[in-house]
Amino acid sequence: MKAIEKKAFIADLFQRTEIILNQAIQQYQNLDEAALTFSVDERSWNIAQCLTHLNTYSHYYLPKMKAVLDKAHEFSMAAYVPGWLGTYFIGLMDVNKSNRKYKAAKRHQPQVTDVYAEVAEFIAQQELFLKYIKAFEKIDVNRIKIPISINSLIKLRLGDVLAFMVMHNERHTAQIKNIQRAHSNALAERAVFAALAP
Amino acid sequence: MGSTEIGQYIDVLEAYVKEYFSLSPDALAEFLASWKSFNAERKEILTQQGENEKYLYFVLEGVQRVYTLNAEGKEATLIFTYAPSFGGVLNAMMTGQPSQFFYETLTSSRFLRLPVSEIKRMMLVNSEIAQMINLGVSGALGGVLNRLAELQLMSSEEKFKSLLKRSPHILTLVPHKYLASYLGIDATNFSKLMNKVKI
Repeated sequence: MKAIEKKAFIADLFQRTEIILNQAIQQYQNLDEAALTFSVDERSWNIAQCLTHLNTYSHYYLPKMKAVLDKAHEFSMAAYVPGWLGTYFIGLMDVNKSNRKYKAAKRHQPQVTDVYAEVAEFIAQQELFLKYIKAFEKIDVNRIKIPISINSLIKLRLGDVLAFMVMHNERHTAQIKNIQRAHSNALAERAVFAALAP
Repeated sequence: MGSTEIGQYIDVLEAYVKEYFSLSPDALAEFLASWKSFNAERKEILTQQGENEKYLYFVLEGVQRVYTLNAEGKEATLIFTYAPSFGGVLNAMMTGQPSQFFYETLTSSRFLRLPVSEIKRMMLVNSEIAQMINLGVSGALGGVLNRLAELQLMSSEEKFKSLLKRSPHILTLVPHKYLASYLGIDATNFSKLMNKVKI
């Protein structure tokens, strides 16, 4: 796999996460319950479910990242070399490459109890993630491996996990954009019907 | 000035100082002479608890907070700073004692900043600047006392409304958990207020 210069790799992940965080702070946290629970159809997730799903990933991977950061590491600016398996998983999540849908593993299926708490948790986890991304700039992200959430026998390079997380977050924030579009269309339609009603 | 980037920033600081303080042209020129531009990303801690405050900041862009932690790690957000205003842990700056508080960016931020040693030097040699810094710090103390009064006298809803009146855009700039902490209300109550109070 083609090596990616470390500084550029980290800056890219940081920037993309910054965009996601800004969306969450500007929009998601200011949405009311109706907007957070609107779904296009019965089988599709609403915004709260998308964010809760992403939170289950953060809750699994971020403590693992913290455990890595809590240990002493040699300073390393070594380029990130994507692994073949990591590249495969990241590719699956890329909405620009394929719009295939997947069923979430059981541990990642969203169980929403408080929609506002999930939005706040999403923001808190992304803030933490941003800090970790930056801290990994000075650590080798190829040698350290992390077991994946759906099968502890499979381990990915730390760099692959970071890239996967960001791509997966983007996948579902793109989904949220589609939900918001559908919701505003539905509201507009309802307004037209109301105006036409005798 | 005004032709370079730093010159434009100094112009903003100059306009701010002229609006809130009265310095003679000489004192103003001396006060403005040594500020340097400084950028920080989101969630960068600029002043650590237990360390001395090294700089006086002037905020050009972004939102920052002064906060503290208790023994269990629970955070209390005490003050927000945003453009245009001075920032930093002012009491630690004045006393030279280790800061009891953190100063942290909540968004990517742009500042001018000046070493505290330079502030101290100017205060010794220029009584106008000393007077201005004293007034500035007293103004900040007034703000803190005002907030203390609000915290004790107002209901959650009144505090929420008062914050939105002062800073209407803050809801889209800062994660709500910091706002809830600042107002001394829990996160659940904060989302209830969001729904209840027409913005």
